[in-house]
Amino acid sequence: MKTDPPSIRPTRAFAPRGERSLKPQGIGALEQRPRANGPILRVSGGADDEPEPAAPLTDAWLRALCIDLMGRPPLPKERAEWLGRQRKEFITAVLQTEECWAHWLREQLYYFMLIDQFRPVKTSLDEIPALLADRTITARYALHRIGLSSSFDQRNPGADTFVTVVMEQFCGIEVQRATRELELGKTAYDGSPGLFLGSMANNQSDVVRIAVRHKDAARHLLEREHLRLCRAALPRKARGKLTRKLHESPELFFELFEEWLHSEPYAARVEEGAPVENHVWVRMVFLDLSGKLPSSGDVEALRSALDGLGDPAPLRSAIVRMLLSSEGTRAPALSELKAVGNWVDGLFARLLGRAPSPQERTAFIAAAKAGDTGPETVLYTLMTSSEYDNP
Amino acid sequence: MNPTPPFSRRDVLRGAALAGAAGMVHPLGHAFAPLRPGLKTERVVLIVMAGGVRSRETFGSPNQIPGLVRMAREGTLYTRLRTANLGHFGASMSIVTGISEARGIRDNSRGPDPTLFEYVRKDLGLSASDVWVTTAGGAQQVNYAYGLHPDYGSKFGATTLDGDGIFNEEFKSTVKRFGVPRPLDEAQAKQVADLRRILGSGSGRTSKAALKEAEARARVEKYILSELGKGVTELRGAGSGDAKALRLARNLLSVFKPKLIGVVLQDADVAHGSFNGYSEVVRRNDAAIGELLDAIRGDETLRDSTAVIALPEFGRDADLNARRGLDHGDGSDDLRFVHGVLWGPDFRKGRVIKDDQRTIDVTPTIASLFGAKAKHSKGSILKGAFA
Repeated sequence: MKTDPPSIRPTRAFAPRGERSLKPQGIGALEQRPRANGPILRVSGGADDEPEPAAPLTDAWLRALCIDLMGRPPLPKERAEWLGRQRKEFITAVLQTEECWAHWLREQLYYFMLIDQFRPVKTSLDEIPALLADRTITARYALHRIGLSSSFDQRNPGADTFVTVVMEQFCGIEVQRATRELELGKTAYDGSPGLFLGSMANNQSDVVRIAVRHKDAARHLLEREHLRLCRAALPRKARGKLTRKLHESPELFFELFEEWLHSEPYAARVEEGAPVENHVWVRMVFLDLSGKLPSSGDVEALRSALDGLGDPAPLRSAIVRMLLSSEGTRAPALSELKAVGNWVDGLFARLLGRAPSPQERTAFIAAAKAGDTGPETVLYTLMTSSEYDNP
Repeated sequence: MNPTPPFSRRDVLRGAALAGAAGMVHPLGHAFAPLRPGLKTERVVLIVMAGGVRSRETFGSPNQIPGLVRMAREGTLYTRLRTANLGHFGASMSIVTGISEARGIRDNSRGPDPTLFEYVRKDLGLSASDVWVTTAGGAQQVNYAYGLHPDYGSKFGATTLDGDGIFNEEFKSTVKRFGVPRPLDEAQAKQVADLRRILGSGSGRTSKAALKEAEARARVEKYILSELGKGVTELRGAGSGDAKALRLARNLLSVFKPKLIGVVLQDADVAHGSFNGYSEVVRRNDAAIGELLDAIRGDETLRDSTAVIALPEFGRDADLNARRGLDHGDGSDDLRFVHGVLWGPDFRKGRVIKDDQRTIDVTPTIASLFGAKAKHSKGSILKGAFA
């Protein structure tokens, strides 16, 4: 098992982004990133109905934010350090970490189905999280790099598949309604010059570049990222304006991303809970049981198995039982618990992000005391509940 | 077009009423067999040879596919099934929904329409262990289990297993390293059930429903763990994903004897870069389909009551690409038309039908075998195949 990930430290100041030197990347010019000035791009209603960014971090908020932004629950030391402090402060701090953008990259690779044998391992894509964390590059540029990777090429072999996937995945275009563009893209892929999505393309890399920089790509990125983060469709009202702005200034993605975390839809997502992908669930279970993250090999083996089921619940419960009996993730014995009531309270806060109801507290304390396997039964019940699966 | 079953709904209801009068457990359910009056079929295996397989490499090269040739000789062969050329995901989805589904190639989400599996489970009151899907294409293909239609959805979905995703060495060795999970003993299971009732009480779920769901999940969990120690995990090499999906279907038939199994393959797509690899996958899958049919023929509870239907989701280009492989996007007849075979006690034997039909016709055809109705399907029943 891996060692502890670095915990989130309080905010450091950003260097002004426009002043950073840009390393040449060899794939066209990097995006210029002047700091966004002017009004913040509000997605939901007026200021009155916005959740309060200064509101203190509760267990539910801390857990949801850690899971959504870093793909794991909070570490014990993060709970100790951040609970009760301002949400805004935490969000700002997390968005500057490499871990946050490593998770973002994992989600993008999963979106492009660059998993299993197509998962890029030890490639130049590995540098993306650090570059995003200090805002040296934009999300659009990161997606461009993914589109040019050999993993993407191998995953989408041949002109028809490649151009179709580029149009669908980057721009959200329904190819069946754009067959002429598909044919033009295929021609360019094969090395013959031609207009593709309104720009001149001569080869396979031009197809990717044009699609990534197309206005539809800005719209599609906004729609799918809002859906991923807030579990809600981007409000139609805001879509056109935001698309135009993001298309013109790709660096605004960072501001938007941060703003969404303070929005009504995100507050609703925290309030109601939301399902998580299997790879996140695996990290959750390991960290909740051991305080440590699993190795990437363990994550992949378990993620792949869970993804292979239409309903992963049966296998999730088997994995929880497996870990509860295993060294390093084993449930404590009753004799190891000093105060069972406190232990139950702590589990509810840590695993479900809330306090137990009086009835729950009584029942779970009784179950924990029911014998030496009592604590295991309590942990198993909580970690196989739909509330746990929807943090 | 609304599909019209060759047997009227009244026939089904009459049969159901008789079954009910005879004191059978569920008047339209799995205790009543065969499922349609006048028909012998009790269970169906649908094999979607996805990944793109041309007729040239199947019935155009009969020596390469002795299993399918024998199946066709004993059943009905359609030589011109028009495909929905929408990428692998959409084209296979179209077969199981009976609707041409425009879906992205790398889309990884449920479709909007109900699937064959939902129609059959809902109309016949079948449990999750009666309807299975085994796949070879990883995370994406488990989306065939059910769609998002409000009248159907997850509660009528198929139990879905991806052969290569679950039964592989990495997962097996991970489980071995951490230790095979032991089942809950009776007292512990009761305690967990009691705690679940209290946890978040007010969720509206009845304890009976929750218990039933827990039991069904426990059966699936037990099956996965037992299968992990058997031969499926050992299958390796070109086309091993497909081989695992087909082997699982064979094993499920003997363990659960489900009413409906969908098998969705994928490995033929290696053709993009290797024609020889593709041919090898076609040969290996044919052999596995042959073994599946032999297992059915050799089981007296299955042989006179099981139907098997096999077809690709679409073909491939007419010509080789620059890498000496075969893509799929030229719009040729090689791509747009495939052969399909229907084999079973209610299908005509040795019949070859050369009229144009569609791959989306499969869903209403299978639904009609069960007396279910594929309400939203745009396909038609393949009446010519019925004896």
